[in-house]
Amino acid sequence: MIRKSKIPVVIFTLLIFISCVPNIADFDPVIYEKTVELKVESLVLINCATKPYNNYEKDIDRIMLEVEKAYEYSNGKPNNEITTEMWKILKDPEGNLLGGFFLHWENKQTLSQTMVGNSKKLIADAFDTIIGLESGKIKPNKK
Amino acid sequence: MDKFDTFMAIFNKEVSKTAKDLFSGYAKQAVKDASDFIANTKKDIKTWIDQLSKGEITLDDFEFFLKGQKDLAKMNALKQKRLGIVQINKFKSALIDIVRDAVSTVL
Repeated sequence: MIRKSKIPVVIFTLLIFISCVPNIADFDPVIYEKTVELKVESLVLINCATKPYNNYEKDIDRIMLEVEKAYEYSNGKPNNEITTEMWKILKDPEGNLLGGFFLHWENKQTLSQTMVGNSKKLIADAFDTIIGLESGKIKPNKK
Repeated sequence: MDKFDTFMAIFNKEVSKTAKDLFSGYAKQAVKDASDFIANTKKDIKTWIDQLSKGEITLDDFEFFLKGQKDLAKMNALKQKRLGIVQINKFKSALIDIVRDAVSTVL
């Protein structure tokens, strides 16, 4: 009888453990599709960096606006701090990925093919990291 | 065997099986991801050193790529952290099912 009464104690202890586990945002098809789209558009634009920056300024502004929107969307979702931090690293003009690359292009006006090729690989990997993270999230119907 | 022992027997068996399934798979994947990242980094740095020695890139360019690789490493670390939390949440959901099933078997 005494032992049987331990079942609620075990369950209560488990509930305490469960409540301590951090929550995470679910898989979001909107941000997933947007990230894939931004990756493709960004890489196409990076290919043009062997030509003068001024010719592409509007395209760069448009892409960075879309990246900023993706960041804000991510930031607005609860329990989504890690993905938001990744967007912050990607877009940072003081950093050395997408934001940093566009600033570097602006400063130099034209970049070498080697510079473009190496940067393109790094930035593609950065987008793939976010895409991989999004696709690894739990789908709401699988909970 | 009383009800508590039965409950604990079912619970222990299912928890260890679920934990093994979820975390051993995750651990293998995390180790593979880290190894792949290190291998790719080594390959890239070797390429950049080669390009620098041939004069295809400047020292500033080389530094730019190294810093980019550092940013990428930060993003990978964040991804692994996040995927770890995903596994813990899957375990959490599984734990609720295990307790429910064990209780309904016993009572």
